[in-house]
Amino acid sequence: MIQFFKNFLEVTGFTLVMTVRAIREIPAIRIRPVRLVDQCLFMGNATVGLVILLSFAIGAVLALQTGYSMRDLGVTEYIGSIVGLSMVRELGPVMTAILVVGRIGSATTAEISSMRVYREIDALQTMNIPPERLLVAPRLLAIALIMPFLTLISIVAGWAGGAVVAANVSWIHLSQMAYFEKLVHFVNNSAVWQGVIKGEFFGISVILICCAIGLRASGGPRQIGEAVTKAVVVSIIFILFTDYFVTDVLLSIL
Amino acid sequence: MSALENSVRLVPVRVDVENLKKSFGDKVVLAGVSFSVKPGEIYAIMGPSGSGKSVLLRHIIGLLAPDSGRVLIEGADASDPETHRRFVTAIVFQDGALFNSMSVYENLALYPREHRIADRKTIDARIRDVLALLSLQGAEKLMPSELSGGMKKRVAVARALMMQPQLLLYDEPTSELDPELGAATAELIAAVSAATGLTSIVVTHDRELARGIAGRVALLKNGRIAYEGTPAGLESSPEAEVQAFLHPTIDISNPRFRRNAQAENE
Ligand SMILES: Nc1ncnc2c1ncn2[C@@H]1O[C@H](COP(=O)(O)OP(=O)(O)OP(=O)(O)O)[C@@H](O)[C@H]1O
Ligand SMILES: [Mg+2]
Repeated sequence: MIQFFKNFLEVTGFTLVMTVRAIREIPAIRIRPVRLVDQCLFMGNATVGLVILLSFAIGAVLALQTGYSMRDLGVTEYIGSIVGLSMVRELGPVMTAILVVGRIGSATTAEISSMRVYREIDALQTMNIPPERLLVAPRLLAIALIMPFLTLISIVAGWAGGAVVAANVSWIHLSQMAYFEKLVHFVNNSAVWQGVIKGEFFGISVILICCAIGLRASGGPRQIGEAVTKAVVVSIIFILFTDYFVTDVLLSIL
Repeated sequence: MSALENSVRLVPVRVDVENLKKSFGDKVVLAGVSFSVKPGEIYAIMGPSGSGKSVLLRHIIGLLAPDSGRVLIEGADASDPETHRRFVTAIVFQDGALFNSMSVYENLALYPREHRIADRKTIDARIRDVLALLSLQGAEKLMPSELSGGMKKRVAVARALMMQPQLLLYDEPTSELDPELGAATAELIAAVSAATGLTSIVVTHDRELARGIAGRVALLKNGRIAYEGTPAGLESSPEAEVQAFLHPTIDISNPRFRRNAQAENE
């Protein structure tokens, strides 16, 4: 137990130091912007399609579930507001973050931990090139730039999924007009901000966690696999646990 | 050989290793190693596999910190990153440690680009020269996975030369090369040293190399320096330990694995 605590503090400390160093290296990206562009393209390519597909599916299921519950109450016209707000404030950012873990975070840890294991990071150090500059800073900036778009794409795809279900399932049969009228009525600016900020927070945290776990790997090929598994598990736990507190804070300030 | 003729003379540095001790767990690897390398010297380190030669180099380049004792570069502590910013130090890793996701060109260009030492044209010209020195013409676009073991080794040497270091550590630079390329690499190490005046420390199993280019040679065995002196002196040393290392006899009727097992049983 004490060991676990010590370990936890050590990892947290390492991640914080790495984060500060990475932030200090962000201005250096100007010199080689190609690294940032590469990361943005990679991250976008890896996630956009899946985000649309999965968010559409989640929106659809959400409409089906709320529709079923509301039919008895006779208030199916409120599906739009429920799907709308749930996607914006909760499911959009959380789903996107979890996809980012699977598609970007795991690749990040795999690449960085293999560089550690094959001593490429040592080589960087002997060249006086901080690994944070080459490996962390471009990823950090890239995720910060694309995460708001990913979150918004997810939200819109979820809305669309809900609308298709609401309009086409016979026992709901809510027109697109009615669906979006309620949706627009309830989704305000502050809700959208909450979603985007939440997504941004999760996206950045996930990248930092995955970079840190990659940089701390040591050993051989098996440790690369272990590092990737660990990065995925820790990231998802982080998202689901901090979600409550982030939501609490955002609800009270926005 | 334009790259060598145009080389800038560097200010060479001296290296002092003082009573260096290092253990991993309860395994003692370095049990008090001391030696000094003079500025501009080529110093060879030989020794059995697993005797801690690579560990020793990792201390000098600042990747490992001693348990006790010190490593000094021009009097400054080698385990302090600041020392390696003040003096340009480079290492050719035993396995090359090339950046696997970068082409040969990008591997070589990384250091001068990151430290903005030269403009693109100058860097390109230097890369061409350095690759030519190592008979690697035309390898710019290849990825490390497309190189043979010996080519990787030479690219690693090329990458270190791109840094124009004042102190260059080679970890078995010729171990995967055929005898002729090995000789060529040894000549190159000597030529670079002569042209730039840098200090070289060469870990090697290659006696030809040690005899041919090293000013002095040390034998690292059982965590200590068992011999230090001229290469000729090493060959003629009367020490049983040295002779056993240099002239192992192959005895099929009484092989070593059997002798070792017997010794352990007793
Ligand atoms: N990071 C480490 N953790 C634990 N033990 C290590 C570590 N690095 C090296 N060792 C041990 O230190 C000893 C010396 O290793 P080193 O790599 O320096 O040998 P070497 O003299 O370079 O051998 P070779 O000629 O085969 O390259 C070995 O027994 C090795 O197991
Ligand atoms: Mg070695």
